[in-house]
Amino acid sequence: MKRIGVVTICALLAAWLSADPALAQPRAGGVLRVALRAEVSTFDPHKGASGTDHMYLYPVFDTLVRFDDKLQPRPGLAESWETPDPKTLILRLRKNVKFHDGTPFNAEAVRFNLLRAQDKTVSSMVSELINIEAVEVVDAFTIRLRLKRPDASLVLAFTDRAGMMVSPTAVQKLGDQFGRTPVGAGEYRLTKWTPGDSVRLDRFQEYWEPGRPYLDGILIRIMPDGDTRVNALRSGQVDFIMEIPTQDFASLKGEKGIKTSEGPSLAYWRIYLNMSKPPLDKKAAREAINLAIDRGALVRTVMFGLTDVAVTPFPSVYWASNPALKPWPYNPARAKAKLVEAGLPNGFTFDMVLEPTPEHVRRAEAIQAQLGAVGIKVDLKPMELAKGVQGYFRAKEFMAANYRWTGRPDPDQSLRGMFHSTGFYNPGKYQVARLEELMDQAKSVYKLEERRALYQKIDEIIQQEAVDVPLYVAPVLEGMSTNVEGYQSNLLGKPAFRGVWLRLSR
Amino acid sequence: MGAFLRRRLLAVIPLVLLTTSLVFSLVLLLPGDPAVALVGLENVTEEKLAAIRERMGLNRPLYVQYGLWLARAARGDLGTSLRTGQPVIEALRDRLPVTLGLAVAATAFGLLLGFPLAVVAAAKRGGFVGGCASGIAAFGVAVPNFWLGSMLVLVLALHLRWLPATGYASPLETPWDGLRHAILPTLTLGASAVAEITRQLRSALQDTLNTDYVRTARAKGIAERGVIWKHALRNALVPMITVSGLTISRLVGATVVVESIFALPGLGRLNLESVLTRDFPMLQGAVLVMVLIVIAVNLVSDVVYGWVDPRIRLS
Repeated sequence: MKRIGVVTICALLAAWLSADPALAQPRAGGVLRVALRAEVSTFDPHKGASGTDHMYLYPVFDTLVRFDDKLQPRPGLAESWETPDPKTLILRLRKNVKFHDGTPFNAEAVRFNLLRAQDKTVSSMVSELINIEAVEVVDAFTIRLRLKRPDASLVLAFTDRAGMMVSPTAVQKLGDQFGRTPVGAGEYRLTKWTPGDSVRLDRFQEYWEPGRPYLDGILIRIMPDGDTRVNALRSGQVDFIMEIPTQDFASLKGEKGIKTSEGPSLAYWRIYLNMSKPPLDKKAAREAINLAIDRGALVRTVMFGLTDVAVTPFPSVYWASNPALKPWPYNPARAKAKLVEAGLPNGFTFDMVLEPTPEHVRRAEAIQAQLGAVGIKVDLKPMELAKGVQGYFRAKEFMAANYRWTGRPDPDQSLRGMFHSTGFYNPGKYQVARLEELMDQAKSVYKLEERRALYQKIDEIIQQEAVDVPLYVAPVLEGMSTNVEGYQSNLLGKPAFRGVWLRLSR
Repeated sequence: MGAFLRRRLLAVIPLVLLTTSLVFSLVLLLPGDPAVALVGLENVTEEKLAAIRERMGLNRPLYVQYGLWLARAARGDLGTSLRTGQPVIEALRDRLPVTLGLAVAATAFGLLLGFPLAVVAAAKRGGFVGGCASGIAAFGVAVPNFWLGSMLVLVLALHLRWLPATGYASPLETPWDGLRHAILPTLTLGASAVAEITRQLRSALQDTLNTDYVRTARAKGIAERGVIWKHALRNALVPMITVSGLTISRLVGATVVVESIFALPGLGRLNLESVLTRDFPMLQGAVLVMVLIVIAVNLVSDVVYGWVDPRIRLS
């Protein structure tokens, strides 16, 4: 009886809350205060390469294409696009858009941007646009891309740096200074950058979307330490934090005045294998590794249960992942049988690079113990990230590495990087011919449904061939004051504050 | 005094050369290629790396790189950040006041609290009060500042909500806010200064209290208070000049941790960030400034020492 009462009260409360017009209607005004781990490297979207820059770039630079919560393309500065044939992509642009300096946004501006993004002397994203042969202005608001070969990943590449539009006049005028005094067409303008401390963005009054943005501005404070960010949120000094340390998340979750957001990201933890080094070139040996790892235990102990085990290179909610696939079972007996099949009845030894920080060491030691139980000895090589990356990917000195795959907007970028024989993240240049065929095929069809089917097949082959050792999905752990409304997390784990508003402004 | 000063100043030159060349070679020993860091791992091609190394002069022999850096540094040009393109000298100018302010405030706090504690500990040696004073000093030495910082934040900022947990506000632009932001970092950094100063002054005072002239003063019937404050303390203070100088130098180093805990935009954090992003010109500049601070503080304390105690000047 008591329970029914509680339920009724909750239902009434919910009805009352949802009827409250103040909650449904976004309020304009206020400054959102955000704490981020890393400082922006440069505000020039074409020049930078750091994955931690996006939170600064999204508000300042509108992109040609936007993405939704499943990372599917949505109209942005390009209202629509079509592919009359597989080697032509036509973008129709939004009218009445201005850059912060008053420069009109049009096809000429897009052409300037794309040519700049293709310019090796300037751009860090030449490889993403490698298939664009010519950029043609059809009329003031239509642009036609002629492609060397079909490339379905282009549209999603335009949600990222390559689609961020800079003001051509400002670039020409400012030269190298552009990266510190940027001019875009986004919701906010950069008004103050105090290196090492903070970045202040203010509302762009002539933004094209009526009524947007809601906020007067965004103040980003730079706080490299995770506990410092948590403290800043708890004490009310900031309204939003990301990359919350896993051990702090549970305690933050129930706290008064704070709400948390947890979800999967496109990033996942895996063991990178150099499959040209024996015995890792044997499928049975790789299967043995996969079968001997208890992923559930890793999630419970290392990640405090805050995430899911990884099945494919993509989280289950992502459009390119294959929901029919099951995670690798934890089966030490079968792992041992696979070792016998590989001609390694006594197991084998491999060395594995990792970062020397406690969380990374804990995970690697757990893996070491699990693999040790079936006779696979892991020689842990903790070393500073830059050195490890250099040693594993470039010098190819080690057999394995335990790092995170950071995710990319388009599945082709992820798969090609890790599983194509030309991929940088496949140091053994290991080749599965069937996979490469399918990747090329998926890149040349533009219909999302058709691409999905091909990627699901790819996911299946990756598991069959045991070319991946997925561990668990990297969670997106964010926290904010209950004053923050309208925030939507994304699979890239890179917050964009579009649509955010504050109940009370300060 | 003039000759003493000249001698001291001349000694600074080889010291600066030695430390900067040492820093320069240590920086290059760091694992990780700055050119790779700059291009971004995925975009790495040999041509790109070669072009960057050429542009930054990384392909030249070490001694040539050092010579060029030194020549430019002598003219006040420390290069630009590899990561943000900001001139290094500008970053240092922005961040130096934060770190210096913090170190000086922490030392002042150390002196203010350390002084009475030391006197109590020396005067009431063996008693409960003296034991407490010594205990506080021992605690200050033993406790790591990252722990103390977290505890202070937990109690004073998160629980009692008296002070802001993190961040920096300039005391010149916003005095009240600046002061409130400065308290927790100062306490955190100053705890070890309190301890150091207490311990040093206490033992100096105890030594002085055992000398013949103090015994004579007591024999003349001067009250214990007068013996300590008028006779013993003055002599015991001389070594404190050196101790204060050493404390400031040590605290400048400790700002690396404290500035990270409190998200202060100072030199310490600049050092850390530059190491992590392989921003060599920035790191080089930040370390240079820290070295110069230590040298300057030592110089000043030597000179003051020489001024206070003529015996030093002659030796």
